[in-house]
Amino acid sequence: MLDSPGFTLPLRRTPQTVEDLRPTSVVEDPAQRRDLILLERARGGDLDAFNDLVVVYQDLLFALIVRMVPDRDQAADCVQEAFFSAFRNMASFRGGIVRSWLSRIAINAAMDTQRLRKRRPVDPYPELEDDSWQPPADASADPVTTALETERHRALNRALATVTDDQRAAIVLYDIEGYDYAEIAQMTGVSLGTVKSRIHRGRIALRGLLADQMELFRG
Amino acid sequence: MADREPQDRFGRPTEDMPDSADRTPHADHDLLVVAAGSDVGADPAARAAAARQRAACPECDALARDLFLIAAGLQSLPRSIPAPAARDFRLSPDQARRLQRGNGLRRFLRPFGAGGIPSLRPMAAAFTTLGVAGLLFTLVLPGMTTFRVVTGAAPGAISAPIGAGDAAASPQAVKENASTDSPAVPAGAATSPAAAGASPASLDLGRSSATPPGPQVPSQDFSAPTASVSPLSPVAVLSFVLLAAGVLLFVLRLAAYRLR
Repeated sequence: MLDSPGFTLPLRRTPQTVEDLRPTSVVEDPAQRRDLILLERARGGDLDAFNDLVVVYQDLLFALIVRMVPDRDQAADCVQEAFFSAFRNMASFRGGIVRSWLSRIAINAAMDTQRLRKRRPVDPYPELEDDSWQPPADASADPVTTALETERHRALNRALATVTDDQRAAIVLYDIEGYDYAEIAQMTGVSLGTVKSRIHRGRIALRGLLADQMELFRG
Repeated sequence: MADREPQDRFGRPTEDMPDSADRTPHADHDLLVVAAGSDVGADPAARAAAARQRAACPECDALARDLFLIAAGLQSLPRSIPAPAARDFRLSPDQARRLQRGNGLRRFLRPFGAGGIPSLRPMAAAFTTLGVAGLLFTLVLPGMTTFRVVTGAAPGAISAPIGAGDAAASPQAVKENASTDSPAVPAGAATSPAAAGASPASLDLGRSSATPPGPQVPSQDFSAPTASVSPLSPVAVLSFVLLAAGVLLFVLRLAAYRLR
């Protein structure tokens, strides 16, 4: 009876644990190795090597900055300023992850822009309805799913643009860029507790802003 | 059967007692506990606290589920967004040359900027504070005390608090004092025991003004209040140096941040 095919033991289901899939080690990362080689050559005076780094990271930095400074022109200016700053400060790079180093410089540039904007407000940030914010649709994807995802991304981007600058930076770095608390604390120059608080408060604020659109996420 | 207590339907609770501590309204709940507990990087204690709150409050449970969905939605956002095609972020040789030009100054200022000396700001603040305090104690406060003693105001006015003594030490009071026919009280006697123990500055001034007895007209010269305290005392000089060093450190730090 026990070996009958229809018999199953009533197993007690434990709640699924959510695993953090973000990489914790980059020692053997080929991309990191490539970046270090390029940076070393750039420090030796090879401008082409630096420009290779620019080409590799320009989209990533633009994605990071455009979520913090949601004006695409200003974000592009920030990216340019970040690369200028990286070129000037190549000598101060003391090892570590090149992507994090560049991200930190980009965040500083974005924060400078935000501060400047607060001092001299011109007009509010435009609403993020730009289609280029959406990833290209997979040809095999269901159109309904694609449309839903696009709508969800738009809603999230709109809500993100509304929370405070600090909360937005922390959420973008943690949830989208995948940095951990300690890295974000180091990048933004605040304590670990402040980073956590900004992320959690920011998410609660997002929930308040998205309260009437939560069906998009449940679907 | 008759001797048994009648069984009331609502007499004794037969089920587990509900936890009355968790029956607070949702508005009083700390939402950050739920938010912290529903994070993937939360520690076990935060998770347990959030689980307790979720079990007790359906609204908190709904919040946790929504926060999880929002976090998942955020993680599904594209990590790379193509930069505007019209923009070329690569550096031209001209730009590279221009950027390298200010490298000497930047190298000099690097220790003062972000990632430089970590204790720079507290050090600058301490220097500035000590400098200001030193100048205050060596130049400003003794000047105020000297002014009172030189005017030769009533003994009570000398030992009185600054605010209270203002009226007594005013030029009008001095004139009234000078117009009396009675012989003036010698300066040494004018200093009451209370005033004698008031401050070293006033003691010093009392000694310096112990001129031969006789009719004495109080000094009307209000413009020379620092007779006994030299502005160039070592403490004052040191305070100046500390203040200058503190301000300089602040300026260097600001410049380093600007040139970042």
